[in-house]
Amino acid sequence: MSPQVPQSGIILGRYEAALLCLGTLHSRFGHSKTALDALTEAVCFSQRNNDDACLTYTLAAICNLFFETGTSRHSIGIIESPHSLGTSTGMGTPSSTQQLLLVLLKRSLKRADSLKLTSLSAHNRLTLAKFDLKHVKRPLVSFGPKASTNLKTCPIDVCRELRLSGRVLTDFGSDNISLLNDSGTFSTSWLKNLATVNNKNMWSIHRNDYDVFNWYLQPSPIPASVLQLAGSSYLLRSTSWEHYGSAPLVRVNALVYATCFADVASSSESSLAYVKLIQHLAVFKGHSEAFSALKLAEEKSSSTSKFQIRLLRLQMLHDRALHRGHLKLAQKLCDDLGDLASSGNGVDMDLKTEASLRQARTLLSSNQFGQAEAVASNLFCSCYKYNMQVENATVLLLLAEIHKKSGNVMLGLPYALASLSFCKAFNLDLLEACATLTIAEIWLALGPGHAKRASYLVHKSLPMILGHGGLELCARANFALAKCYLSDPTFSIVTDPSCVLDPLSQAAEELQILEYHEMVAEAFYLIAMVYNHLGMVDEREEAAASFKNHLLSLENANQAEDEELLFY
Amino acid sequence: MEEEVEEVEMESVGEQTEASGSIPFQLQFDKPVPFQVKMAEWNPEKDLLAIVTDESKVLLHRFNWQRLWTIIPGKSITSLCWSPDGKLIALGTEDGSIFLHDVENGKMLRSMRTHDAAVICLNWEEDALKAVDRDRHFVYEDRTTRFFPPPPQVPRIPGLSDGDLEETTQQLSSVSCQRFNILCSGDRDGCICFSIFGIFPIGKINIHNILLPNHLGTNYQYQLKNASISKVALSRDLCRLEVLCFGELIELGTSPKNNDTLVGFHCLNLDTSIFLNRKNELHQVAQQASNIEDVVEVVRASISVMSKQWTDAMSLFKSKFQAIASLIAEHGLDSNSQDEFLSLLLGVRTSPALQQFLLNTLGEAGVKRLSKTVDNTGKEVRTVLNEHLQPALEIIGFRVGELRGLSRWRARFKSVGLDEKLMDNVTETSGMLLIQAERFSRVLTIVLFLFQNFFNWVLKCTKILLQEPTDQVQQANSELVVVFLKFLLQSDPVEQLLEAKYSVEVDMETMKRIEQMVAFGGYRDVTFLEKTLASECNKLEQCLKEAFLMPFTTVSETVACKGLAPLFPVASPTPSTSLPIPMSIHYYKDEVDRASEIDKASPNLTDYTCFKVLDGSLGLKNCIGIVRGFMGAGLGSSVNAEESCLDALLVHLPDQYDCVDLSLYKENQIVLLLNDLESNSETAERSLMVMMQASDLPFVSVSLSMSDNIFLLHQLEDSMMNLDLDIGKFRAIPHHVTVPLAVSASRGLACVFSSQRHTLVYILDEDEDEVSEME
Repeated sequence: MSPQVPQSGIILGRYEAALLCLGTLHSRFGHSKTALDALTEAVCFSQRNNDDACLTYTLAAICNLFFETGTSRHSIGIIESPHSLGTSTGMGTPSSTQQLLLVLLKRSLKRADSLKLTSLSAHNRLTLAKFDLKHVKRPLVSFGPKASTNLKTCPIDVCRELRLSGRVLTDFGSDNISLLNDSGTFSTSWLKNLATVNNKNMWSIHRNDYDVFNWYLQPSPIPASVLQLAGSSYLLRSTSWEHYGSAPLVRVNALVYATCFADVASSSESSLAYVKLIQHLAVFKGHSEAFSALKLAEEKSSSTSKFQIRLLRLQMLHDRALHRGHLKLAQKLCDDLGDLASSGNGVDMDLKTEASLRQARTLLSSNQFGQAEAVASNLFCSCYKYNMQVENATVLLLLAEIHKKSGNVMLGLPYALASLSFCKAFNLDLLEACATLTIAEIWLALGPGHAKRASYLVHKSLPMILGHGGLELCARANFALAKCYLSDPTFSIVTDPSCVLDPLSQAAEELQILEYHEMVAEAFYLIAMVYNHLGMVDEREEAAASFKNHLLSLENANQAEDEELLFY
Repeated sequence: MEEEVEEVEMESVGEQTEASGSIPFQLQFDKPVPFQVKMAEWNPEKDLLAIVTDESKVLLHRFNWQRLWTIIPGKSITSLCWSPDGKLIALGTEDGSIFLHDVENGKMLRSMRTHDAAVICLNWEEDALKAVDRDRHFVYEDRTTRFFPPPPQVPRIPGLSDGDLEETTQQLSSVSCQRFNILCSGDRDGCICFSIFGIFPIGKINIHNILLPNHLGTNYQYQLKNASISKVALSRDLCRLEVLCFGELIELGTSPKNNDTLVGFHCLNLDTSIFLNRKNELHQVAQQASNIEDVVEVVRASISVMSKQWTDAMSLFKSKFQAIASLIAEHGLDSNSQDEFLSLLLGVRTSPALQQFLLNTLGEAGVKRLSKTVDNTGKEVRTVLNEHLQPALEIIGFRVGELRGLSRWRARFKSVGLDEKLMDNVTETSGMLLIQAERFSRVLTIVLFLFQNFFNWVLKCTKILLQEPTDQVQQANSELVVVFLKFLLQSDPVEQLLEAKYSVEVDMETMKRIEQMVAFGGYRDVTFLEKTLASECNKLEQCLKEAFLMPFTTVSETVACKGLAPLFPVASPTPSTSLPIPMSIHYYKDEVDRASEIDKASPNLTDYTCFKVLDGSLGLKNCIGIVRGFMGAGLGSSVNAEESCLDALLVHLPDQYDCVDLSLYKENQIVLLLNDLESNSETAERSLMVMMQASDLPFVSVSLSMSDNIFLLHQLEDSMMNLDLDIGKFRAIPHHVTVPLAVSASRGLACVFSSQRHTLVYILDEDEDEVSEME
């Protein structure tokens, strides 16, 4: 979202405002360098003319520019350009884009607050929250051995910024500026509304028309831009909870957006809300529900938001293909995703990362461990290079998975531990639980002597995983739990069969929803073995039959896959 | 303060040298107290003594007798106890409430009405033993503090400065939840309640409904009738509860032929092992739940504060604008205020009524004042919304999500009654409330904007009528004035959302959108926007109540009786219930040989129960009974009734003394407070304080399975021991003493109150005595 062109700037001096517009447009079209030139000049002129409002807007525009290009290849050049805007890097330490961004952002925010530019201040706070989400706070003073070297992100700051930015709605009208900015849009929409009501023959200047005419139907006098800002705060909340791990809050915040801001939302933002909701469905309710929702969303989406929906479709198809064992299809979908990542608009690093991740995962599923590792290591290098720490944690965990599956179990452990410490630093609680689970699985694979340790780790991760993890993760945790008991030499299945059978059947149930045939078959195999041990023949046969069914559908995957490929 | 202490100590030292050197308990000080004391209890951590007077005032004194605070709760106080960390005082009242007060300032932090009758006894026990279970030694983390700033507090109503209560309630739920503890309370009607951290009710049992097991060799089970609880004591590992109660024991399935003999005092052993076995789970649930309840309180209060402020402003607005209607009538016009304003807006005409209203009734200053009032109210309501309601809802959403997550861990949390369906329900409702709040904020913003616009327009019109320049007045939007006149002059959508009694009309478009959302995982209840903010909040409270009732009932059901020991019969039930008899229960770390019998989870704990036998019971007079190991009895060997036996002793006091109060003291001692009945005002020694080593007493092993003599003391009559004052340490007190006797195990102190309204504090501990003398 780009800041609005300040009205007050035009009153004081038009040149800097024009420069600001130019810069904004340049950055809109991806000409970062020229944009920065224009914006720097705008800063100079605003300072010369004492045009505080324009200066503030310009700073915010520069922040936007940095934020959008911050991690891409182009930005390196920009930052090293002589325009360091007074924050010259004379301190000997390389001042990263991020630090520069933070300084600028805080400056702009302070000015916006003092000038009572509520919308800009809300916008800046949103950017700041986005920044804080992945920014590790370094303690300002740290001397001596007792100084805390605990580097962590600060979620409380994110929460505060988001709350403050959400106030843009309620603060509307409290500053008198908004009254002056009547551009006539409201009057137009009001007249339009009047006309539609007239057509329905409902509007008549009678005393009781209040009963027939709903005041909620009145066009809102609040400008859409203000409402959009307020809504963005909810979308960002939803995103932040995806990181921090609270499934109900991800859903609720997306729902608040889709319910309360749907009428004013920009198409990309509203489709983002739908994407979040559908992803939530896919993870928690399985593929079929998610795909039917996706179909609805595709019908609703406009051309501008097609990209996001198409991306979502690819992601979901890929997940389903992996679960069903359609590896050729999965590979094809991965390639498509990669194409999408480097389209004509320049390279989208986030998307590129995701494409590589999925690529590695596909290779892993087809047991091509060497290649999978190569892709993942490459990805790790590029993430490291561009400072994408959060993604690093995911990649490291994937590397651990690859080693775990390839048989070099011990090699996976350092990766998993590294991922764990990343997760701790970034407060990625769900991913942390996931890493803990992986470590537990690694211990399990090392032999029955480590079953106790594994069991402890699984138990530790369970509250988080069962509460906020999706079907697949829950199933994995339940599976690991059952395996812990089974491989514990001191555990006797006869005395307490339910503590193995319950998690196993739970896992089987969850995996069936996902059509994850490979793992369902494994679960039923274990169930059958347990029943066999207990001497319960009927139950054993039932489980064995299910095992066989799922194994068959896995073997038939190739056939079904060809159909899918055709369909796709 | 320091000086005063020294002075007191010198005085006491002087007194001691005056008396014989062998006097064991040194008098620390002797101070007059201007009231009759009913109860007194030492703080377990600090040198603080809480006193309840006969008029039910509560006072807190320091060791040097400096008074820290006095409070008058306004209700008759029937019991008193400290929280294990010494930061809270729990007071039980005549009408069945329990109050928690802050030790710092005496402020009431919480009041709960869990009982229907007077709360006779309280016991607050912390889990002192570490769980050794292997897969339980990790701690659950409460993530909320990591992701959220401190929760908002109850908003203040402007003009009232009494905001201290809120500040501390927040502390209560966040600070007091560090270690697992349980407050147990017993009432006169035989109900026992448990609450975790003293704030989250987790169980209630009625001992009338409990089937009592049978150690008596017959097949009958017993039940209690007309029981009232006299004393409750949780073991330190929280898995046993000893209950002393007065009541009538009836055999199930037999005709009540000899019931009169079974009226008396009984000792019950209740199994509360769920508190030990599911400690972590209960801790987590209680911590989340009590925090949620606190924040829901903030939500409720925020809505009512907003509603109050808004209706005040609106009634002012309406009262001012009502004048138009009467003016219209005076001028004999057939219209209403809305039409008059509309015609003014459209420039048709300015009716004389409206003109008179604007110029004379309201006036320019009036418009400005009204505009200012509405604006300020709007600001205040906005502040409450932004700083209290919305953050509170966010935190509720998060915490409910955490609890819902826990409820999905069925293996662990099903047994403490956390139900997945009910938690899902709460999650949905809390989400709907968040949407409601967002809608409210939008409606509020629009309405305030419309008001501002309307007042600008009215001001402008007034100026025009006065033929003053209007360039200072802000431009008003005419369309918005129309909207205002149509929808806000007569009705008030903000108020509608703040009151539970209304229902909101939702337009078709929104309705359609919400129905579509269902496919995307939206709320199945598509009509939720028809509710108001207030009624949605009511619904959330209702859902929470349902969800938290499950753990309450589940835990209540697990509490069962494991042992019964009828102590002594009482012939006439009337006096005993009204007069509390001195009794004390304590769990001691015990010698190794007994420990082997007891369950491994609670090592080395032996219970001692000490009580005064009511005169006349079994023909005994002036006796005290001591029971040891009742809670251990029947634990390891409950299958075999033959083996369920315990140690007990009946001690006969010298006839000249009357036992006023007694208390068990650390290292197996019993402290008795005896009044010398033969003394008169001239005698120097008018009462005695005696300390006996309980473990040295000649206990008799008693079987609980004797069928002919149900009451325990029957079996002890033959082996009654006469108290010889030489066996223990004793000290004469130069006053007649009254209840209570307050001993402090941590500091080795005893506080005695004389009937002449004096307080005497003695040092019970020899070692500490010497240390303080050296100082």
